[in-house]
Amino acid sequence: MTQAVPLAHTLFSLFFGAAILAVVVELIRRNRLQERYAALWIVLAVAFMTYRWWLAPAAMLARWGNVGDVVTVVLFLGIFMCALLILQLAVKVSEFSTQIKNLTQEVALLKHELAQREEGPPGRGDGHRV
Amino acid sequence: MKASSVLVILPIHNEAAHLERVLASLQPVVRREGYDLVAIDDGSTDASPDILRRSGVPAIRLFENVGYGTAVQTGYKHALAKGYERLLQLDGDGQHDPRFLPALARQLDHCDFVIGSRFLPVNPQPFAPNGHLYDGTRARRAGIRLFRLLLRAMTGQRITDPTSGYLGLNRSCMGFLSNDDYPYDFPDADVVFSLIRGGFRLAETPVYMYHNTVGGQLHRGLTPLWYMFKVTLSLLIAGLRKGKKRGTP
Repeated sequence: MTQAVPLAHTLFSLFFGAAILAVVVELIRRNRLQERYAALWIVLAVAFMTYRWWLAPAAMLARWGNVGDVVTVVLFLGIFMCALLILQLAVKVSEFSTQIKNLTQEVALLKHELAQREEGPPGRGDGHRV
Repeated sequence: MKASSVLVILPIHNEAAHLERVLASLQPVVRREGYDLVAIDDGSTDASPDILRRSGVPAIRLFENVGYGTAVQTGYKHALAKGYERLLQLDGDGQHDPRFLPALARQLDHCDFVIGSRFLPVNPQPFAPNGHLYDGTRARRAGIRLFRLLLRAMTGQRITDPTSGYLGLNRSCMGFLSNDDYPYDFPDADVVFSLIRGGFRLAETPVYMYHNTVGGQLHRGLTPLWYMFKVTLSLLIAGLRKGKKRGTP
Protein backbone atom coordinates (compact mmCIF):
# COMPACT_ATOMS: atom_id res chain seq x y z
CA MET A 1 0.00 0.00 0.00
CA THR A 2 3.00 2.30 0.55
CA GLN A 3 3.42 4.35 -2.57
CA ALA A 4 6.24 6.56 -3.73
CA VAL A 5 5.38 10.18 -3.03
CA PRO A 6 5.34 12.24 -6.23
CA LEU A 7 7.84 15.08 -6.23
CA ALA A 8 5.07 17.61 -6.82
CA HIS A 9 3.33 16.51 -3.61
CA THR A 10 6.55 16.79 -1.66
CA LEU A 11 7.25 20.25 -3.03
CA PHE A 12 3.69 21.40 -2.42
CA SER A 13 3.68 20.22 1.21
CA LEU A 14 7.13 21.70 1.75
CA PHE A 15 6.00 25.05 0.35
CA PHE A 16 2.74 25.02 2.30
CA GLY A 17 4.47 24.12 5.58
CA ALA A 18 7.16 26.74 5.00
CA ALA A 19 4.47 29.35 4.32
CA ILE A 20 2.69 28.53 7.60
CA LEU A 21 6.00 28.65 9.45
CA ALA A 22 6.93 31.97 7.86
CA VAL A 23 3.57 33.50 8.80
CA VAL A 24 3.84 32.21 12.37
CA VAL A 25 7.40 33.52 12.76
CA GLU A 26 6.42 36.87 11.30
CA LEU A 27 3.44 37.13 13.65
CA ILE A 28 5.70 36.38 16.61
CA ARG A 29 8.25 38.92 15.36
CA ARG A 30 5.54 41.61 15.19
CA ASN A 31 4.26 40.69 18.65
CA ARG A 32 0.92 39.67 17.15
CA LEU A 33 1.32 36.09 18.38
CA GLN A 34 2.98 34.98 21.58
CA GLU A 35 5.42 32.07 21.52
CA ARG A 36 3.36 30.11 24.03
CA TYR A 37 0.40 30.02 21.61
CA ALA A 38 2.57 29.32 18.59
CA ALA A 39 3.80 25.86 19.55
CA LEU A 40 0.97 23.88 17.96
CA TRP A 41 1.11 25.99 14.79
CA ILE A 42 4.83 25.30 14.46
CA VAL A 43 4.17 21.57 14.92
CA LEU A 44 1.52 21.84 12.17
CA ALA A 45 3.92 23.62 9.82
CA VAL A 46 6.67 21.07 10.46
CA ALA A 47 4.15 18.27 9.91
CA PHE A 48 3.35 19.71 6.48
CA MET A 49 7.01 20.14 5.61
CA THR A 50 7.90 16.59 6.60
CA TYR A 51 4.82 15.06 4.97
CA ARG A 52 6.98 12.94 2.68
CA TRP A 53 8.63 11.17 5.64
CA TRP A 54 5.66 10.44 7.82
CA LEU A 55 3.52 9.15 4.98
CA ALA A 56 5.06 5.70 5.41
CA PRO A 57 4.22 5.54 9.16
CA ALA A 58 0.71 6.82 8.27
CA ALA A 59 0.36 3.98 5.75
CA MET A 60 1.46 1.55 8.44
CA LEU A 61 -1.13 3.03 10.78
CA ALA A 62 -3.76 2.60 8.06
CA ARG A 63 -2.85 -1.07 7.74
CA TRP A 64 -2.98 -1.61 11.51
CA GLY A 65 -6.28 0.17 11.77
CA ASN A 66 -7.58 -1.67 8.72
CA VAL A 67 -8.52 1.70 7.24
CA GLY A 68 -7.58 0.75 3.74
CA ASP A 69 -6.56 4.18 2.52
CA VAL A 70 -3.68 6.26 3.78
CA VAL A 71 -5.50 9.46 2.75
CA THR A 72 -8.16 8.75 5.37
CA VAL A 73 -5.48 8.48 8.05
CA VAL A 74 -3.87 11.74 6.92
CA LEU A 75 -7.27 13.45 6.92
CA PHE A 76 -8.01 12.10 10.39
CA LEU A 77 -4.66 13.32 11.73
CA GLY A 78 -5.34 16.73 10.18
CA ILE A 79 -8.74 16.97 11.84
CA PHE A 80 -7.22 15.79 15.12
CA MET A 81 -4.58 18.52 14.89
CA CYS A 82 -7.27 21.17 14.22
CA ALA A 83 -9.27 19.89 17.19
CA LEU A 84 -6.16 20.21 19.38
CA LEU A 85 -5.65 23.79 18.21
CA ILE A 86 -9.28 24.69 18.94
CA LEU A 87 -9.13 23.02 22.34
CA GLN A 88 -5.98 24.96 23.20
CA LEU A 89 -7.76 28.19 22.26
CA ALA A 90 -10.85 27.25 24.29
CA VAL A 91 -8.66 26.58 27.35
CA LYS A 92 -6.95 29.94 26.89
CA VAL A 93 -10.28 31.74 26.42
CA SER A 94 -11.50 30.17 29.68
CA GLU A 95 -8.37 31.37 31.48
CA PHE A 96 -8.83 34.86 30.09
CA SER A 97 -12.50 34.88 31.10
CA THR A 98 -11.51 34.18 34.69
CA GLN A 99 -8.87 36.89 34.57
CA ILE A 100 -11.30 39.40 33.03
CA LYS A 101 -13.90 38.51 35.65
CA ASN A 102 -11.43 39.09 38.48
CA LEU A 103 -10.26 42.36 36.94
CA THR A 104 -13.83 43.58 36.40
CA GLN A 105 -14.65 42.81 40.02
CA GLU A 106 -11.50 44.50 41.24
CA VAL A 107 -12.16 47.64 39.19
CA ALA A 108 -15.78 47.79 40.39
CA LEU A 109 -14.75 47.40 44.05
CA LEU A 110 -11.99 50.00 43.76
CA LYS A 111 -14.28 52.50 42.01
CA HIS A 112 -16.88 51.95 44.70
CA GLU A 113 -14.28 52.44 47.41
CA LEU A 114 -13.10 55.64 45.76
CA ALA A 115 -16.64 56.98 45.38
CA GLN A 116 -17.37 56.23 49.04
CA ARG A 117 -14.23 58.04 50.16
CA GLU A 118 -15.02 61.07 48.01
CA GLU A 119 -18.63 61.21 49.16
CA GLY A 120 -18.37 61.15 52.91
CA PRO A 121 -16.65 60.17 56.11
CA PRO A 122 -15.49 56.60 55.94
CA GLY A 123 -16.76 54.07 58.39
CA ARG A 124 -17.28 50.38 58.80
CA GLY A 125 -20.68 50.72 57.16
CA ASP A 126 -19.11 52.88 54.47
CA GLY A 127 -22.29 54.88 54.15
CA HIS A 128 -24.16 51.78 53.00
CA ARG A 129 -26.74 52.32 55.66
CA VAL A 130 -29.94 53.38 53.96
CA MET B 1 -24.78 40.63 67.21
CA LYS B 2 -24.75 44.22 66.06
CA ALA B 3 -26.87 44.85 62.99
CA SER B 4 -24.23 46.56 60.89
CA SER B 5 -22.39 43.28 60.66
CA VAL B 6 -25.07 42.22 58.16
CA LEU B 7 -24.82 43.27 54.55
CA VAL B 8 -27.71 42.87 52.11
CA ILE B 9 -26.70 42.60 48.47
CA LEU B 10 -29.07 43.19 45.59
CA PRO B 11 -27.66 41.96 42.28
CA ILE B 12 -29.32 43.66 39.32
CA HIS B 13 -29.04 43.69 35.56
CA ASN B 14 -31.43 45.87 33.55
CA GLU B 15 -34.11 45.78 36.22
CA ALA B 16 -35.51 49.29 35.65
CA ALA B 17 -39.02 47.86 35.29
CA HIS B 18 -38.97 46.42 38.84
CA LEU B 19 -36.31 48.31 40.69
CA GLU B 20 -38.32 51.16 42.23
CA ARG B 21 -40.90 48.69 43.54
CA VAL B 22 -38.19 46.37 44.85
CA LEU B 23 -36.38 49.19 46.64
CA ALA B 24 -39.66 50.51 48.07
CA SER B 25 -40.27 47.17 49.75
CA LEU B 26 -36.65 46.47 50.63
CA GLN B 27 -35.51 49.77 52.14
CA PRO B 28 -37.97 49.82 55.07
CA VAL B 29 -36.87 46.30 56.12
CA VAL B 30 -33.20 47.19 55.82
CA ARG B 31 -33.71 50.42 57.83
CA ARG B 32 -35.76 48.70 60.51
CA GLU B 33 -33.26 45.88 60.98
CA GLY B 34 -30.23 48.17 60.74
CA TYR B 35 -28.65 46.23 57.91
CA ASP B 36 -26.33 47.76 55.34
CA LEU B 37 -27.40 47.54 51.72
CA VAL B 38 -25.48 47.60 48.49
CA ALA B 39 -26.68 46.93 44.95
CA ILE B 40 -24.40 45.11 42.54
CA ASP B 41 -25.11 46.44 39.09
CA ASP B 42 -24.03 43.87 36.53
CA GLY B 43 -23.43 46.30 33.66
CA SER B 44 -27.01 47.51 33.27
CA THR B 45 -27.70 49.48 30.12
CA ASP B 46 -31.18 50.70 31.07
CA ALA B 47 -32.26 53.24 33.69
CA SER B 48 -31.30 51.01 36.65
CA PRO B 49 -28.15 53.02 37.58
CA ASP B 50 -30.21 56.26 37.60
CA ILE B 51 -32.88 54.69 39.78
CA LEU B 52 -30.22 53.51 42.23
CA ARG B 53 -28.61 56.97 42.28
CA ARG B 54 -31.97 58.67 42.94
CA SER B 55 -32.83 56.24 45.72
CA GLY B 56 -29.49 56.81 47.44
CA VAL B 57 -28.68 53.10 47.51
CA PRO B 58 -24.94 52.60 47.14
CA ALA B 59 -24.01 50.53 44.13
CA ILE B 60 -21.00 48.61 43.00
CA ARG B 61 -21.06 48.87 39.24
CA LEU B 62 -19.44 46.22 37.06
CA PHE B 63 -18.58 47.98 33.81
CA GLU B 64 -19.54 44.96 31.71
CA ASN B 65 -22.32 42.41 32.02
CA VAL B 66 -20.25 39.55 33.42
CA GLY B 67 -23.02 37.32 34.73
CA TYR B 68 -25.18 36.87 37.81
CA GLY B 69 -22.64 34.64 39.55
CA THR B 70 -19.87 37.18 39.10
CA ALA B 71 -22.16 39.93 40.41
CA VAL B 72 -23.03 38.11 43.63
CA GLN B 73 -19.44 37.03 44.11
CA THR B 74 -18.42 40.70 43.86
CA GLY B 75 -20.80 41.25 46.78
CA TYR B 76 -19.11 38.45 48.75
CA LYS B 77 -15.67 39.93 48.09
CA HIS B 78 -16.90 43.37 49.14
CA ALA B 79 -18.45 41.99 52.34
CA LEU B 80 -15.23 40.14 53.15
CA ALA B 81 -13.11 43.24 52.55
CA LYS B 82 -15.40 45.35 54.76
CA GLY B 83 -15.53 42.85 57.59
CA TYR B 84 -19.21 41.91 57.48
CA GLU B 85 -20.06 38.76 59.41
CA ARG B 86 -23.22 37.89 57.50
CA LEU B 87 -24.53 38.48 54.04
CA LEU B 88 -28.09 38.24 52.76
CA GLN B 89 -28.86 38.25 49.07
CA LEU B 90 -32.04 38.65 47.12
CA ASP B 91 -32.69 39.21 43.44
CA GLY B 92 -33.44 42.59 41.95
CA ASP B 93 -36.41 41.41 39.91
CA GLY B 94 -38.89 41.48 42.78
CA GLN B 95 -39.37 37.73 43.07
CA HIS B 96 -38.08 37.59 46.62
CA ASP B 97 -40.09 39.10 49.48
CA PRO B 98 -37.63 41.19 51.56
CA ARG B 99 -39.76 40.80 54.69
CA PHE B 100 -38.14 37.40 55.14
CA LEU B 101 -34.63 38.86 55.42
CA PRO B 102 -34.69 38.85 59.25
CA ALA B 103 -35.79 35.19 59.21
CA LEU B 104 -32.81 34.31 57.02
CA ALA B 105 -30.46 36.30 59.26
CA ARG B 106 -31.82 34.51 62.35
CA GLN B 107 -31.28 31.11 60.75
CA LEU B 108 -27.60 31.94 60.41
CA ASP B 109 -27.35 31.62 64.21
CA HIS B 110 -27.65 27.87 63.65
CA CYS B 111 -26.03 27.25 60.28
CA ASP B 112 -23.50 28.62 57.79
CA PHE B 113 -25.70 28.93 54.73
CA VAL B 114 -29.44 29.39 54.54
CA ILE B 115 -31.70 29.05 51.52
CA GLY B 116 -35.05 30.81 51.34
CA SER B 117 -37.30 28.03 50.04
CA ARG B 118 -40.52 28.66 48.14
CA PHE B 119 -41.52 25.03 48.67
CA LEU B 120 -41.62 25.01 52.46
CA PRO B 121 -44.94 26.12 53.96
CA VAL B 122 -44.91 29.54 55.60
CA ASN B 123 -46.75 28.43 58.70
CA PRO B 124 -47.91 30.39 60.59
CA GLN B 125 -47.89 33.26 58.11
CA PRO B 126 -46.22 36.28 59.70
CA PHE B 127 -47.72 38.48 56.99
CA ALA B 128 -49.83 38.00 53.89
CA PRO B 129 -48.20 37.61 50.50
CA ASN B 130 -48.35 40.76 48.42
CA GLY B 131 -48.36 39.12 45.01
CA HIS B 132 -48.98 35.87 43.18
CA LEU B 133 -46.92 33.15 44.78
CA TYR B 134 -44.70 31.39 42.30
CA ASP B 135 -43.20 27.96 42.26
CA GLY B 136 -41.89 28.10 38.69
CA THR B 137 -43.07 27.06 35.26
CA ARG B 138 -43.58 23.36 34.58
CA ALA B 139 -40.12 23.14 32.98
CA ARG B 140 -38.56 25.01 35.86
CA ARG B 141 -40.21 22.72 38.42
CA ALA B 142 -38.96 19.69 36.50
CA GLY B 143 -35.46 21.18 36.60
CA ILE B 144 -35.68 21.84 40.32
CA ARG B 145 -36.87 18.27 40.87
CA LEU B 146 -33.88 16.97 38.89
CA PHE B 147 -31.41 19.08 40.89
CA ARG B 148 -33.08 18.00 44.11
CA LEU B 149 -32.69 14.33 43.12
CA LEU B 150 -29.07 14.79 42.05
CA LEU B 151 -28.21 16.62 45.27
CA ARG B 152 -29.94 13.94 47.31
CA ALA B 153 -28.02 11.22 45.47
CA MET B 154 -24.69 13.02 45.73
CA THR B 155 -24.90 14.32 49.31
CA GLY B 156 -27.73 12.48 51.03
CA GLN B 157 -29.28 15.81 52.02
CA ARG B 158 -32.74 16.93 51.06
CA ILE B 159 -32.73 20.49 49.74
CA THR B 160 -36.20 21.59 48.61
CA ASP B 161 -35.20 24.70 46.65
CA PRO B 162 -31.65 24.46 45.30
CA THR B 163 -32.27 27.23 42.72
CA SER B 164 -33.77 29.80 45.08
CA GLY B 165 -31.25 32.64 44.90
CA TYR B 166 -32.71 34.06 48.14
CA LEU B 167 -29.81 33.27 50.45
CA GLY B 168 -27.98 34.04 53.63
CA LEU B 169 -24.39 33.15 54.36
CA ASN B 170 -21.81 33.71 57.01
CA ARG B 171 -18.28 34.99 56.58
CA SER B 172 -16.81 31.54 56.34
CA CYS B 173 -19.07 30.73 53.35
CA MET B 174 -18.28 34.07 51.69
CA GLY B 175 -14.59 33.22 51.82
CA PHE B 176 -15.22 29.70 50.53
CA LEU B 177 -17.21 31.00 47.55
CA SER B 178 -14.85 33.83 46.61
CA ASN B 179 -12.67 31.69 44.38
CA ASP B 180 -12.29 31.02 40.67
CA ASP B 181 -14.43 27.85 40.79
CA TYR B 182 -17.52 29.92 41.51
CA PRO B 183 -19.85 29.91 38.46
CA TYR B 184 -20.09 33.08 36.38
CA ASP B 185 -23.69 32.71 35.40
CA PHE B 186 -25.95 30.40 37.42
CA PRO B 187 -24.66 29.63 40.90
CA ASP B 188 -27.29 27.13 41.96
CA ALA B 189 -27.26 23.44 42.82
CA ASP B 190 -23.53 23.11 42.10
CA VAL B 191 -22.74 25.74 44.76
CA VAL B 192 -25.06 24.02 47.23
CA PHE B 193 -23.23 20.76 46.53
CA SER B 194 -19.78 22.34 47.03
CA LEU B 195 -20.88 23.84 50.33
CA ILE B 196 -22.28 20.57 51.64
CA ARG B 197 -19.14 18.71 50.58
CA GLY B 198 -17.03 21.47 52.07
CA GLY B 199 -18.53 20.68 55.47
CA PHE B 200 -20.81 23.71 55.80
CA ARG B 201 -24.08 23.45 57.67
CA LEU B 202 -27.04 24.23 55.40
CA ALA B 203 -30.59 25.07 56.37
CA GLU B 204 -33.73 26.20 54.60
CA THR B 205 -36.34 28.65 55.73
CA PRO B 206 -39.73 29.21 54.12
CA VAL B 207 -40.20 32.39 52.07
CA TYR B 208 -42.68 33.87 49.63
CA MET B 209 -41.54 33.96 46.05
CA TYR B 210 -43.52 35.91 43.51
CA HIS B 211 -44.13 35.66 39.82
CA ASN B 212 -41.94 37.96 37.77
CA THR B 213 -44.48 39.53 35.41
CA VAL B 214 -41.94 41.22 33.16
CA GLY B 215 -39.85 38.08 32.75
CA GLY B 216 -36.26 37.90 33.83
CA GLN B 217 -33.35 37.05 31.58
CA LEU B 218 -33.48 33.45 32.70
CA HIS B 219 -36.87 32.98 31.07
CA ARG B 220 -36.00 34.31 27.62
CA GLY B 221 -35.33 32.32 24.44
CA LEU B 222 -33.22 29.25 24.81
CA THR B 223 -31.79 30.38 28.17
CA PRO B 224 -33.91 27.92 30.23
CA LEU B 225 -32.52 24.99 28.20
CA TRP B 226 -28.98 26.28 28.48
CA TYR B 227 -29.55 26.85 32.21
CA MET B 228 -30.67 23.25 32.72
CA PHE B 229 -27.78 21.84 30.74
CA LYS B 230 -25.17 24.09 32.33
CA VAL B 231 -26.23 23.61 35.95
CA THR B 232 -26.56 19.82 35.51
CA LEU B 233 -23.10 19.67 33.95
CA SER B 234 -21.63 21.93 36.66
CA LEU B 235 -23.18 19.78 39.35
CA LEU B 236 -21.80 16.57 37.89
CA ILE B 237 -18.37 18.13 37.32
CA ALA B 238 -18.41 19.47 40.88
CA GLY B 239 -18.88 15.85 41.95
CA LEU B 240 -15.72 14.89 40.06
CA ARG B 241 -13.62 17.75 41.44
CA LYS B 242 -11.39 17.31 44.43
CA GLY B 243 -13.64 18.78 47.10
CA LYS B 244 -12.39 21.73 49.10
CA LYS B 245 -13.10 21.83 52.80
CA ARG B 246 -14.11 24.87 54.80
CA GLY B 247 -11.19 27.04 55.75
CA THR B 248 -9.46 26.28 52.44
CA PRO B 249 -8.91 29.43 50.37
